Amino acid sequence: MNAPRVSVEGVSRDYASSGGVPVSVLKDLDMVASDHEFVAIVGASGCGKSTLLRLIAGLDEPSEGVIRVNGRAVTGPGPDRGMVFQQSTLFPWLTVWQNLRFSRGLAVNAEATSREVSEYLSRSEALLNMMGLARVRDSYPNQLSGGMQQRVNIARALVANPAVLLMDEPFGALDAQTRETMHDLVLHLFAAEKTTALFVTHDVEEAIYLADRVIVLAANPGRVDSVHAIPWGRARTQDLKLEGAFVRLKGEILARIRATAAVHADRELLESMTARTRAPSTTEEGKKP
Amino acid sequence: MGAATARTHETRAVGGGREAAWRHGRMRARLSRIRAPIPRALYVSLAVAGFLLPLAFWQALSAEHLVGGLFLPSPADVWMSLRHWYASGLMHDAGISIYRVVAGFMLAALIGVPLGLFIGAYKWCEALLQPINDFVRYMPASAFIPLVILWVGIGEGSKIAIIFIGVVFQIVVMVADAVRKLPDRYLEAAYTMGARPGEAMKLVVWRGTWPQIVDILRINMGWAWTYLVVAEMVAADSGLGFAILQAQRFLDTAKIFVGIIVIGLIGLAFDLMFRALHKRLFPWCQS
Ligand SMILES: Nc1ncnc2c1ncn2[C@@H]1O[C@H](COP(=O)(O)OP(=O)(O)OP(=O)(O)O)[C@@H](O)[C@H]1O
Ligand SMILES: [Mg+2]
Repeated sequence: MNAPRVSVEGVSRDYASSGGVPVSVLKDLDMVASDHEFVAIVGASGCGKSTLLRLIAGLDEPSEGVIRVNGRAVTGPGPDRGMVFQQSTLFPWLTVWQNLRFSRGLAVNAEATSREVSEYLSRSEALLNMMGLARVRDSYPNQLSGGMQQRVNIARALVANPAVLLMDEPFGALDAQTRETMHDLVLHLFAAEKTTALFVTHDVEEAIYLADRVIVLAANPGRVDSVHAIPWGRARTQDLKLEGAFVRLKGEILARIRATAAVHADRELLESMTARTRAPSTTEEGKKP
Repeated sequence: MGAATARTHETRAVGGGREAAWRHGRMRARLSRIRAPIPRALYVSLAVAGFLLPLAFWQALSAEHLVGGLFLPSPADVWMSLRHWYASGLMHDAGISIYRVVAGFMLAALIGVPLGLFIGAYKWCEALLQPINDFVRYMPASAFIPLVILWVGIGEGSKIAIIFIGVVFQIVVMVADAVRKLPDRYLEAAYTMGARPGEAMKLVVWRGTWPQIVDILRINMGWAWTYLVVAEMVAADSGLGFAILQAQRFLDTAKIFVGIIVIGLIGLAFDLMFRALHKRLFPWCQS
């Protein structure tokens, strides 16, 4: 295969802490994503998933190492890397359609030829239809449900044809049913899109269902713990989640996350809590249906 | 719907008296619930009552001659005074006052809004301008009168300058705060779509804080009116504030009342105008 679309090479990120000793959030992290690949990144809370994505987006700078997209080193945010956040970032003062067309008005796209402009327009239309947004085209974001808003966010990030789409728990705030719909929508969408996707989530099932590869990050400091290739093609249905191989893989990945969550204090807290609740629970027993 | 009401009736009450009590209880619950909407008719009646009650109280006080006419003229006296003033140039006084307030306010907005935007957006601007702005902000505008006379003279400029000084520093702080409150994620989204800093400033910061800025201007327009009397202390020979000061000299209490009420009404009209503008310009602010 040719050069990777995204490569993260020896990247570290330290934050200055109040104590003066810098906290190492990411340490010497290497990873690649190739063309048209859908990579999911999972790991315990606080292991640095969002930090990694922000570094790739160029919204933050690594303390060490380099990140390349299409062979070029990342020095700041740019339209070759679209980003979708957990919280909607649609501009409340623009309608859905105006949000989709926001990047068209920017100087980076000013020199587009008329052919590119008409392509852009038809691409916006196509995305609008593919994401089922035609009906809400002229609505303002605050008139849409959370699931609809995230659809527009994804569509908006894809309109400019980014080399890679970065998604940080995009469905984290949605209910289970909406999430499932979104999963199938994303599978469908990425069957048609040429974009590489990096998808951060804390939901292992979601990660396996959507991705070609699942990367587990270990915490304290954040680094790659293990990489799990997902053996199924892109044509997936919800039934897959019930299959033995799927469930086994989910168990394996969950075990890795548990093993690498370096927060011992939390485990101790949990144990002490279960010990405490066990004692009075005998008196509560009678009340429960 | 029928089934639902039937059920509530069944569980709440059987007799007619009980039902009325229940309805009454529901209204009370609605009035005590925070932010709950109330019927429009009730809203308007309450707003009118808010004006009429003090008026009735005032009428009662002056009718009983509990307070001397010098201290509290009756509503009829005030009405007479209004008609008299109307015949002798109330409109001219009001016009010149509106001109001064609007000119001082516009100038303050023209300078204060961009300054506030820059202070809120760029840390170096904040460092350079915010401390000095906060320092001057606490100085009373009336204390500037001698300086303004010295520097601007006693023409129209000095009255406009006092109103300008009264509000410009407030506009700067409030606009800067509005910019700082704009969530980072909007800026980050714009950057990831390829926006340059100048574009982010224009398309995100400016567009995103516009509704708050209109609100800030509305509030400051109100404050500008409160500086009118102070401004017209400076060698004026017309204007509502001047007329009030003049009436004070002749102990014409009724005219003072008229002046204050007219200023209040004009202020209210401006406030309503700003609210209407806000509603027109920012349909996306209404949920
Ligand atoms: N600006 C910052 N200054 C100091 N520490 C930071 C900063 N940003 C993040 N951190 C720390 O870096 C660590 C990783 O944060 P990050 O948000 O990347 O984790 P995450 O894996 O996305 O967690 P979650 O699953 O909860 O979203 C956390 O311990 C956090 O406290
Ligand atoms: Mg995160």
